Amino acid sequence: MQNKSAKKRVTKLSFTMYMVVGLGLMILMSAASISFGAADMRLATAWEAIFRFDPTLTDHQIIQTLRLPRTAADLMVGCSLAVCGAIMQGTTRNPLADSGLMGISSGAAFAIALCLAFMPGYAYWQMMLFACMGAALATGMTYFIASLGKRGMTPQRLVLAGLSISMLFGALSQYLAINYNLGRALAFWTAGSTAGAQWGELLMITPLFIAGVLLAVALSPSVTVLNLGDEVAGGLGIRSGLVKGLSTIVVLVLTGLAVVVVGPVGFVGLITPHIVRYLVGVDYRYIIPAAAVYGALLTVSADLAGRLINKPFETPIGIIFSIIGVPYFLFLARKQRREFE
Amino acid sequence: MECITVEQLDIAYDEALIVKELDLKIPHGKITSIIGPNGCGKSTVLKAIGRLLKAKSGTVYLKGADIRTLPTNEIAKQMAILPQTPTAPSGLTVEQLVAYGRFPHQRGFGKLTKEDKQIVSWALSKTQLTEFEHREVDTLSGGQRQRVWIAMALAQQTDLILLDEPTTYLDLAHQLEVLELLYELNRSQQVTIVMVLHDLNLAARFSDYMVAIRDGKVIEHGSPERVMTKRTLREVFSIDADIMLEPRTGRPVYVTYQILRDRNKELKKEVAT
Amino acid sequence: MIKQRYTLQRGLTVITILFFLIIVFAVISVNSGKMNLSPQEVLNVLLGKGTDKQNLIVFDFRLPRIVLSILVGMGMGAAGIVMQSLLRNDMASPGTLGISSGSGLFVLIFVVYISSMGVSSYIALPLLAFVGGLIAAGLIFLLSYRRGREISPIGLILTGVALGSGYGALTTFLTLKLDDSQMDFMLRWLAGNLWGDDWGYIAVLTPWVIVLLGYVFFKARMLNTINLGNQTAEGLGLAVKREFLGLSLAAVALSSGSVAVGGSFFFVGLIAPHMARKLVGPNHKLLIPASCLAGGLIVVVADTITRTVSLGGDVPTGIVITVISVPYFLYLLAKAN
Repeated sequence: MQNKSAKKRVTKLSFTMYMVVGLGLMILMSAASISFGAADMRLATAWEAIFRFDPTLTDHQIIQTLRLPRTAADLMVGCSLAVCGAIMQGTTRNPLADSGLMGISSGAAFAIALCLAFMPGYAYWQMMLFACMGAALATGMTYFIASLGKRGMTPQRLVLAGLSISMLFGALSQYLAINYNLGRALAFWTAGSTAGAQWGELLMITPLFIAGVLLAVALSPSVTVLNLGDEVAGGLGIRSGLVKGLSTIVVLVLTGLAVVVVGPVGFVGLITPHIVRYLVGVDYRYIIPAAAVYGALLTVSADLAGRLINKPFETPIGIIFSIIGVPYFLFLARKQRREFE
Repeated sequence: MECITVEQLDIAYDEALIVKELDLKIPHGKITSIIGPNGCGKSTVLKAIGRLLKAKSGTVYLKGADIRTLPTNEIAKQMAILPQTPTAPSGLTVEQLVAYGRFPHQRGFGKLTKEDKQIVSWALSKTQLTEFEHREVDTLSGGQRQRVWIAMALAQQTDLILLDEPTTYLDLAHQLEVLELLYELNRSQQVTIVMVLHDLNLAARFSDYMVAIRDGKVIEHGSPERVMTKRTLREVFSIDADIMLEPRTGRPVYVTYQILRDRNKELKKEVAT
Repeated sequence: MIKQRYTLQRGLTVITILFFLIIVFAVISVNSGKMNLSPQEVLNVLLGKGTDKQNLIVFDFRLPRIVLSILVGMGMGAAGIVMQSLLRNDMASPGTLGISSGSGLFVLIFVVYISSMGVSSYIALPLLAFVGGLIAAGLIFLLSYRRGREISPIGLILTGVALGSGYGALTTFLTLKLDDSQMDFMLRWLAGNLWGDDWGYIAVLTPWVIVLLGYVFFKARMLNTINLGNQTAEGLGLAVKREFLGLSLAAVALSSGSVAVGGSFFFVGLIAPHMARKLVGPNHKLLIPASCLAGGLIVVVADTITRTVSLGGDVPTGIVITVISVPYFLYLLAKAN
């Protein structure tokens, strides 16, 4: 008994430690992100730009209108996608779950492309709505297809279904992009980039973001129990239908807003929960908050990397995550297969 | 006269040695069964003889020639092999599957000659499948399907057929169906049969020569009377069996058996008495 | 008297019909486009009696494009059926195994680095694509092959698709270095746009495809036998490893060539073999021609649709094919055990 509570204390301690470390790194990287980029600046300039803003200085302008919103966007998007991934992996008991892989992001992207093509006078909230609807459509299709047939929803089938839906929506989006001349900016956004982030959009999204993340954290204890299996969880008094329903809503909203800001980015939701699980263990009460922090950290770092390699060209975060994500995904898939066979 | 000679065969799967320095001589024109407990290496040995597996060391001689020196096509003209649970692609008819037996004899694009077609018909009649020749293979019963594969082996026109557990998954009547066909082929056409069987009694009933393997080594070999003894079964299968001669065929069969509690103790007792 | 599902007669009839359908759509395709030409005018052009403008349209624009569509479709159809039979996996195809994307990466390397070197692109391009395809094939083989154990069918496809998207990401990454026109080209290439509709490329692609198709067709008997299982095939005297290697190389070469000059068509190599199998059955002597023709037909039809139905701007043919094919792929996935 003594051992068990000692272990529990250690876990709680290590969780707190990891959270602190994570937050610290996150702040550090954000500072770096604000300071570095195509036009190098010193950290001091960045500091001044935030706290003693002088609109006449170009440097300050760049920071306020480009870098700061961009960094904020990175943080929000990373946090959202990672939390989505964690929740999906928890509720579907599928370690390969991720918004990008399961076609959700592509569905949202397609809906946005539709919006841009056919509703030129769109309001930002309309675009958000479209994004969520697109995400919902894609999710529905993916889950439906994956669950048909004899063996039901195995992780591999879920991913394959998701990837095909992704390609379908991708092709349709491409069509819209080419046809309605949505331009190079869209191409960039389609590759997943926060380059065009603006304060106005971000402010509108922030309440949804906060609500989504808070709800996710609130759901986390139920998700942990759900991981034991629907029947066991039911026996323990969890209403799995309700939990899954609320989780789906969180996923749709958070993915939707991420896609609106940055475009379809995959793999963040896949990689972050795994890293975090390695650090803080399998309890989702720790995983979801940690994922929130580390997802933000990863994304900010990736964006910074994207601006520094290949200078002066920018590499969208979508690409960076794909390049890291694919080998990691393959590694995970192999591990999965061995457990499944 | 030996049909197949195996010398000092070592076969390994991922570094683990399954078959160790195995020596074996398969007699010509007879039915030979290889028996042994699960994992003893009997299927492995058969596959090595059939060149489906490469041995780590040692040699397999087919009618005096080292199989490693023979082109695989040539081997196919002398030896037919029926692997465990073979699957035919759906949509294939009996006649089409049996026709594959002519593969080693075909050249180039591979059109069936008149002679080929005659041989296929003959194989079908030998296995009593002529009336089924246009039926799709997956619509047949288990026993019938095994007969189709045997017909394919026949169409290869070899005088040696290797079979890996041809009766597994078949029910009792179909098991007999297959073994009686093989028996008849051996007696009427002098086809040498080598098969891995898991059912000891059937092996004893239908074979001329038996080989008992355990842990990759031959424990006993010879006629069924010599191999089907209490002592051999104890050593090979760790069972204490009662053997009697079966009324229909006069062959030895085990009637009942007990699991050996302590294998070594029993052996020591036997040696002491 | 039992009625056989797939007879030789039926197979030959189907093949003939497919052939004629291709010709029909080719004719429709020649007639249509931004400027409609009546069959009479086309006939005039072919007989050498057309006006300069008509000649230009037919000989420089439409005819090469149609010929290219057919060649590319045939190449992918053949590659697809070979891959599906060798791997005994009906979701295998140059796209789902990542081989097209691997070729694509090398095509990009060519566009970015080599085209400025003045090397003849007509030969260099398909060769580079072939190298890319080989590397991709090697990689997926390395990752999936486990001695003795059968590769799980879905696992193989998962690996292939993941690798494919990895190559795709790398490709897009390199694309960012390009200027606007090059980038636009690459984006369209990724969508499958039949860009090499120029007699120079066709002159290289045609012998490439024809020779390889001939080889594959000649090996029909081997493919039939491999379908019985590696051990049974080996027992029948087929040198399985050698034939497997030869046929894989041919398949990779066919798909790389098509992809290099035609763009990345993901689903043609997947769908064409299925159509062919449903129509003519499992005998490769019929399957291979049927799959080639089905592939050619798919691309020609899609291309005709792209150029006639007013979908707006210059929509890459691959998009049409993807939109039609994904539902079918999903159906296959749902059906898979």
